[in-house]
Amino acid sequence: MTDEEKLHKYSESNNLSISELRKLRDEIATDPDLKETLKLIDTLEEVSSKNHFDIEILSQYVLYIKNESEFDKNIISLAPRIEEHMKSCSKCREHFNLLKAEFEEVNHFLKENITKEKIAGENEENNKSNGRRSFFRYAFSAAASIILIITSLFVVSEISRPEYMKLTSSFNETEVSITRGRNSEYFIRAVNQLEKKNYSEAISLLQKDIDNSKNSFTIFYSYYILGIANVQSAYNDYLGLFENYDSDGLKNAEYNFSQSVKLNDSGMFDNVKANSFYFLGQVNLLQEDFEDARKYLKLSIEEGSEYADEANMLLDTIN
Amino acid sequence: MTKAAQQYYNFSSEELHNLLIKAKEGSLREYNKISAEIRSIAFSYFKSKYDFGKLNSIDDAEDLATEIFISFSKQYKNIENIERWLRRVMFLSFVNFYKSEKSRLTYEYKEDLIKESSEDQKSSGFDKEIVMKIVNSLKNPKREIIRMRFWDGMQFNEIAVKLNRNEAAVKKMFYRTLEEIKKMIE
Repeated sequence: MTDEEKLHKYSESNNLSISELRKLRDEIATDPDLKETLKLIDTLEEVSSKNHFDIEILSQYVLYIKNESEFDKNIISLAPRIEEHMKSCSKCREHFNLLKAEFEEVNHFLKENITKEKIAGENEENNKSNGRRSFFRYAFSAAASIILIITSLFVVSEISRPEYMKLTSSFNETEVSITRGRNSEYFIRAVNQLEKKNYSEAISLLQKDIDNSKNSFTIFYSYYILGIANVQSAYNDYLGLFENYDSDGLKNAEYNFSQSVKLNDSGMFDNVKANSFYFLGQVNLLQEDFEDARKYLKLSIEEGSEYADEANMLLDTIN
Repeated sequence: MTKAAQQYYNFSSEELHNLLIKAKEGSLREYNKISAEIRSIAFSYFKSKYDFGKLNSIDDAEDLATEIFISFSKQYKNIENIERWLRRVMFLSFVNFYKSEKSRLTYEYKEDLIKESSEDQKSSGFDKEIVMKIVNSLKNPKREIIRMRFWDGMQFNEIAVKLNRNEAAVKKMFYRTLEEIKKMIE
């Protein structure tokens, strides 16, 4: 990454997680000249900050547009100014979109957890203790038989499963929660679906996001997340055993990771590119294309992917 | 695969509402019950934030859940709708946390700069007035680029459209102008 790209990435830090920001900061700190430039950027940010809306005002504005009953009432008179300002200010617009997504997330969580009606059965145990003893005796024998069958299946499954298959089912779920500037409605909805493990819905939303924003600077990230969703969706098992992957799903994943690498050419998100190489290695391995798998896994290590350890382990299984 | 351990609760709105009413009427038992549930719900949410890398540590999730619990203790007598209250307070608590965490990071960074600069016997920061004077003295389009970037919060591609130039040229001019300002400060 060039000096300019590092500075640019730092000044666009809304898209970075705290740990990514820390890493970048440490990188910049090694170069005295870069540090001086950053000091100047900080000064300019500070003197111009009065021209922008504070994050607290924008969060109150989110509450206001979401029809919440409680919010800072000063927002009502400020709202036209905020709206006018956001038409031309990408910085505040980006903050607003992040806050709106955050609000949706809380809302979704509460809707999932606080249901309209209580699901029956959970607190009724005390009323049902009579007549349970004989039931438990039979239930115990049945459970023991099931455990024996599952253990046998597990042994067969483990023996028949190639070593790399055991190592390929990993991805860091943080991946899907950092937007890298993608705040489109489809993308945010897709991430919500991924968090709920509704892969087919997430795939369809990401596809729509790509169709709608083909020329977007950060569209590579939708391809990347789509690739992850494809791999997860391609996975099948039987009671956690006899794992396998659907070949069409893997082909789609391969295409999407390749697109992500191709479109991620700004140099600002090299970490995502390095991770794409890792997933390309993984997907090729699952398709038993060992040559390409080796090539991509090595690339992911060279490019400093956060999955370098996993890539090394996978390479060990095929070398 | 890292599991995002989001615990799901089996609560009906009605059940929480009834607990709240009894707590407001003075029942200590119901108050204790609903406070504990509010804390658990909040912790479960912030724990999922931690699982997805949005919080640095599980302690942060604990702290935020405790903050919600304390707010509830202070405000429960005035709460009309518990779900709406939770939605607003959980949202604002996380946003405030995120904001303070980001500024803490910038602060730490500036502290490092100040420390190192003073070790080098150099000035600890740029004088805002001097920086402003220099920016105002710049010729266009350099001044315009600096203004659009910082004061108008525009992205490089937007500035490029406004100035009818390509994005790469705008970026190059932006970083060159920063270098120029730095030299003028020296």
